[in-house]
Amino acid sequence: MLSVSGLTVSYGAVLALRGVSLEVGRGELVALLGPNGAGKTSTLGALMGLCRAGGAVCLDGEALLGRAPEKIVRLGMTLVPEGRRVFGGLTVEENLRLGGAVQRDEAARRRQYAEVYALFPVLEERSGQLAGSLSGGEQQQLAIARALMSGPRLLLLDEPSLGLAPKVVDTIFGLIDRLRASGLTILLVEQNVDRSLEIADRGYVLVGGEIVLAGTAGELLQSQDVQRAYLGLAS
Amino acid sequence: MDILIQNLINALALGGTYALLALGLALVFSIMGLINLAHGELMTIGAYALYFMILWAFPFWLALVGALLCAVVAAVLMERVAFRPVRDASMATMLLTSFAVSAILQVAYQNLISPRPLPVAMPSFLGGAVEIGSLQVGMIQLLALGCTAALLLLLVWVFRYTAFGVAMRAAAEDFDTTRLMGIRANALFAGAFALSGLLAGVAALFWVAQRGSVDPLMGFLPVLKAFIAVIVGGLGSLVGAVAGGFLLGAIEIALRALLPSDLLPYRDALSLLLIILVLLVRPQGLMGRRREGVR
Ligand SMILES: Nc1ncnc2c1ncn2[C@@H]1O[C@H](COP(=O)(O)OP(=O)(O)OP(=O)(O)O)[C@@H](O)[C@H]1O
Ligand SMILES: [Mg+2]
Repeated sequence: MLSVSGLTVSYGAVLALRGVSLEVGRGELVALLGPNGAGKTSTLGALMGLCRAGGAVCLDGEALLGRAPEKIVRLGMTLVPEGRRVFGGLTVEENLRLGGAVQRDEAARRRQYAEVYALFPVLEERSGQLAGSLSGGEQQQLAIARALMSGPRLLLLDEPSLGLAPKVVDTIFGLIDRLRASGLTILLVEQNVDRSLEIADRGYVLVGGEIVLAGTAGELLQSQDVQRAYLGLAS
Repeated sequence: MDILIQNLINALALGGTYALLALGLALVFSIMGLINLAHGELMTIGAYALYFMILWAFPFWLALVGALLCAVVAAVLMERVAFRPVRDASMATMLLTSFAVSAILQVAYQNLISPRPLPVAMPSFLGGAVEIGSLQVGMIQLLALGCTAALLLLLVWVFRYTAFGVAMRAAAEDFDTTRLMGIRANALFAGAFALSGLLAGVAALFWVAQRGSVDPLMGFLPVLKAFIAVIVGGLGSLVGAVAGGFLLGAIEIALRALLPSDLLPYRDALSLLLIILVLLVRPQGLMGRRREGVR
């Protein structure tokens, strides 16, 4: 479904990505793991057209590089950004409405609301509340729900467990697992290696802007190299 | 008592004009990161449009509509021609661009229209006063007050209930994330400028109605005040900009009413002093967020 090859991103003279290649198949949950500053967010930014990049990105045969984020969302790929980035001054309902802005069809939008509220009942309870007043876990749920409102085929998640209490992390990972079970294709960026590989089909390990390891979740869980990669011993 | 009410009406009328200008500036700033120094020239364009349409004997209402339309079109063109090409550039580049646009337009008005103030023949009923009880209220103040109130209410409705308004608020808060919702960046810029042009146009009508003339530098002073209002209100806050505008209007009218006549020439300096005091107490402005950065 998504195929990335030779992706490069640089900030001024700093090369943040040095030719990243990865594949995500239809219905798969793929984890992209790596320590701080590895280039995970840069990868997702390049995929979504948020930062300028070299290489090639294909979504179901459609070339994405050089396209604007708003266009890429319309092609069926949506990002839940790092740090949630909900619109704090807008209500929960308004956040969701924006998420569904690309839906032209009113009936489809209603269906989408029903689906999202069924998945995240707490959001329905709080629909009139300002998003900024939600707890961290609720904001993360809202960020995911908002992304689902556009009806994506491929969902990109950037560190959804960041800064959340362990119990809340459980909830979030449970939700991601359910989304995958419902047939959604997901690329999950995480630092929480064990939890991610528990629910993922496959994984990639990114260190210093390069993929240093790739394999099925089982292989990676067994591998000593993943731990070493995190300690900076790899490559 | 009457004097008090009279001054209150004056303060609200003047503050309302500042508020409209400040809202336009804040909208463009929070969405694009652009401090638009050419905002005043949008006002001036609206005022010239009014002048010419009255001169060419269009019906008055049509001249009003024409002036507003002209300001909106000019704002959208300004964004398209001058600001869109530099929108990814640094804030300093954008600031200089807007300074250049402002200077070019001022020179164009001076050379193509007239360097001197041109009298605008407003209909005579606007010069009158309305008696409310024992109170004499200027027709223009009353209209400015009513129109500003109606316009602000309309804007509250737009910002709260329309897709366009919600997208504008979202973009003012977090532009990149708004694009991730599939909302086109160009539409956001065009929308922000169109709205700021409309607000500048309305402010221009009030300004000309009070002063009866239009000149190439007309936009400078009110927009300078509006900038102050934006800062006082809290850079990046739309509600704050409106509040800042009304606060500034109130301070100016209060000083005009209370200062002994030999101190009157210093009233702008004094009102700025009061503003500085406000900022000393609340450096982030009335409604500013205490977050770092604007985006
Ligand atoms: N806007 C930027 N300007 C300059 N350098 C940047 C910028 N964004 C990221 N970088 C650099 O690029 C590299 C990769 O950053 P990136 O944010 O993609 O990493 P990450 O894997 O998402 O890290 P984290 O786990 O901390 O979120 C880092 O060295 C970072 O310092
Ligand atoms: Mg990151």
